[in-house]
Amino acid sequence: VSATTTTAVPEETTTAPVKTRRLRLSRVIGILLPVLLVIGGYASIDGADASESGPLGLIEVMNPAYFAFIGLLAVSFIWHMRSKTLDAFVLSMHIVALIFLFHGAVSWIEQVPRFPVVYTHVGLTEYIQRTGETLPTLDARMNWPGFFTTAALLDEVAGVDSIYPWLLWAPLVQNLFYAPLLFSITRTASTDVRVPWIALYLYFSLSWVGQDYFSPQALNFLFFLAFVAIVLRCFRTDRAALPRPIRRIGNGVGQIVGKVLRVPSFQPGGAPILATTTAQRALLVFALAVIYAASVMSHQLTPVFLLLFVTALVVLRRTVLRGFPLLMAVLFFSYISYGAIGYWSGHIDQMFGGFGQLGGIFKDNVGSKVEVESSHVYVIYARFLLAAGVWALTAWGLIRRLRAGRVDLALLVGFIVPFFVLGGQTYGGEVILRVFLMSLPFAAIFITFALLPTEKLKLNITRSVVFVLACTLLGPTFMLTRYGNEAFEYVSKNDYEGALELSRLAPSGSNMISIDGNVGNQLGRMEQFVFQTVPQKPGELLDYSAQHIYQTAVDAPGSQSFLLLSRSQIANIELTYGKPETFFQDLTSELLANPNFRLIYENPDARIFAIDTSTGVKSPEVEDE
Amino acid sequence: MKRKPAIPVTETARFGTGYETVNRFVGRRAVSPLALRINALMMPASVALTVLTILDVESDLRMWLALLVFCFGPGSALVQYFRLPDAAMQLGLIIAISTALSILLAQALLYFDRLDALIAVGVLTALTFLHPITRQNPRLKKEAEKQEAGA
Repeated sequence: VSATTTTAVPEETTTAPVKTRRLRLSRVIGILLPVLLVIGGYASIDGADASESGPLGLIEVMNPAYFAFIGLLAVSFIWHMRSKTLDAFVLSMHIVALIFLFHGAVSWIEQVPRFPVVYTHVGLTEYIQRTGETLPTLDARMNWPGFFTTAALLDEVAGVDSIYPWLLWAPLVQNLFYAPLLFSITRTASTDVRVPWIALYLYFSLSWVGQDYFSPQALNFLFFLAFVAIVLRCFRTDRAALPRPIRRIGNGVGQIVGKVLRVPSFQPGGAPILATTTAQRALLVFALAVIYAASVMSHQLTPVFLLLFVTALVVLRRTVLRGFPLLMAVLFFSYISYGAIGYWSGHIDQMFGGFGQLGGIFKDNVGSKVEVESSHVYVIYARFLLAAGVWALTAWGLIRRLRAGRVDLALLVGFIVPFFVLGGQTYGGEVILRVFLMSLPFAAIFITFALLPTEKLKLNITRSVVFVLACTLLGPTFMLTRYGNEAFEYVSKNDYEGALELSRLAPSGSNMISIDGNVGNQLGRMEQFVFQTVPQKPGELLDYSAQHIYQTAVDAPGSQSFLLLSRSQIANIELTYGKPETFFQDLTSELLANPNFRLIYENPDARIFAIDTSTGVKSPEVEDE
Repeated sequence: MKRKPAIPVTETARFGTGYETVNRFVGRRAVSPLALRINALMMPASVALTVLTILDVESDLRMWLALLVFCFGPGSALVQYFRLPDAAMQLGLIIAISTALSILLAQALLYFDRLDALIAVGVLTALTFLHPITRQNPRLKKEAEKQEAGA
């Protein structure tokens, strides 16, 4: 691993000017106001009932005053950004308040952790904690068990049986953890001390993807940010010449861009890197290796993003870590070959089969999402529009920055590299979400450049008003895009208790039947049950009849069968397939009238039926198997 | 614990009419101050967690201490070696390195079939005390002073 710099190491910068420590009235207001706005925002939504969310999600039950508090926070933030000396503590308070308002509000009004998939993660953690081993055949995620093993170990150390009580506030805590690293990354963008603060504010207002729940990808996003922060702040080079073939192309493109934009020459635009000694650099390289190794063991996709990012920087000579991609590749492929062999040996087509099939990837990630048969489709459209708007503004910021004669090649690499993953595989129809998330820190910087391309521009009234209006509008937009799926991502306490009761009632070897995959029924003893969703034939009318459910139970291999009907499943079916609001009650009545189904547990959101399959005959296809 | 500076430290000053920054040499002083402070909190926290784990006490305090040590303990010691002057970078790396080391530890314990709370707490506590211990080691201290004199 090469860790020596090829260029003179500039000295480090610190944050704001020193003259910000004095106690002034504006400082006191700047510290207290964000706290009051958070209290006001939370008080305004205190009575909101997330279970009443409709096709447009949580925005339908939010008090409009909540959005007024978000607008006021933007006004206060820009007020302090316009002062002659930036107060880092006051601005930090605003960022923390923003995170509380945007990423913590939902935890305030919900009773149990959201996302049914969180309960599957609880189940995977429970398995490792109970047995002390992983089971790769149980779930694909068990091939990258680092996150679940750590959660199980944390449970053991904390002396608790389940990680569950900690999960409600996980999104808020994870976003608070991201903030300092995002600030470090945005500080590399410019010598202008205003840029990192505005970029950070924009990032948390635009981050609608919602991957920050209790999940491996949430923790790996932290690793991604830490890795990128170290590389850009300590190992970046801005002035090294490009490799010869790229230099020719770069010079040609530079001349054309220069002529079009009427810019005589371009200069590197980044802030100076941190001054480090050889020993420090060696330790930082060690830290990079530790972070990457942890990432490789705990997530499939993040190590790929990181490997591509560093490799692209090395190819363009924007980093001194010339040999590091080799170490990363060795770590990545070693783990895949050893730790995840159980997955790739049986799913090689799934891993690489989609390579280059952009049409299929677009269909899975975009086309299938808009086939929704209710007004929920507007949430999907809003997400596409917001993503397109962010990328368009990023391009505008890049042009503004180029017109100012600055080139930010390392940041551009960070923004573009995630898109290369699009050519790989669909990742369960979620790859575009991940691409958006990984490119967002860099997009936020370029959007800031659209507002302030150089240090010489003042944050005048016009720019301030534009910023405040944009951030105020982003309040409802964020709520619509981030929590637009609330109707089926919300998990009620009754949902949870129904699933918990089922895992207590069902003996080992039972079939756990559900009518939709959006169900958190894998809370514990996962390996002892057969989880089966009622299958639907593509291109045919959806069949949720008692007879079809019964046949699914008969065909399932377990000894006994139980059907869990829960609110989250019904909400997903109603919103995605346009089923009427009486669907839950109609289906319950039909099942109660059928002698093969016996209701054994009931609460307002969940019903458990025991299914008598003794008289059933297996389908011919199942018999053949 | 008094620390000697390792690298010259500069602070940012503005110039001109805008907000552009330049580096201004302000002298030599200790760096990674935030990591030092967090480590000072994490050391007693990790000791308390060890005691609670040995006694197998079931309490909310143990739960919160476990979370704190997993997220901040080892990183607060290791980041001090990096001698970074930037508070945000220190804080972010403390969390990232602590959780990364926790993952590596958990995987290692799983591999050796020893997913045990006491072993985990012992290793995490040792890592949390790593920096103060190595600073007290006469040989390492001498080497560090020599390196600092060279820098």
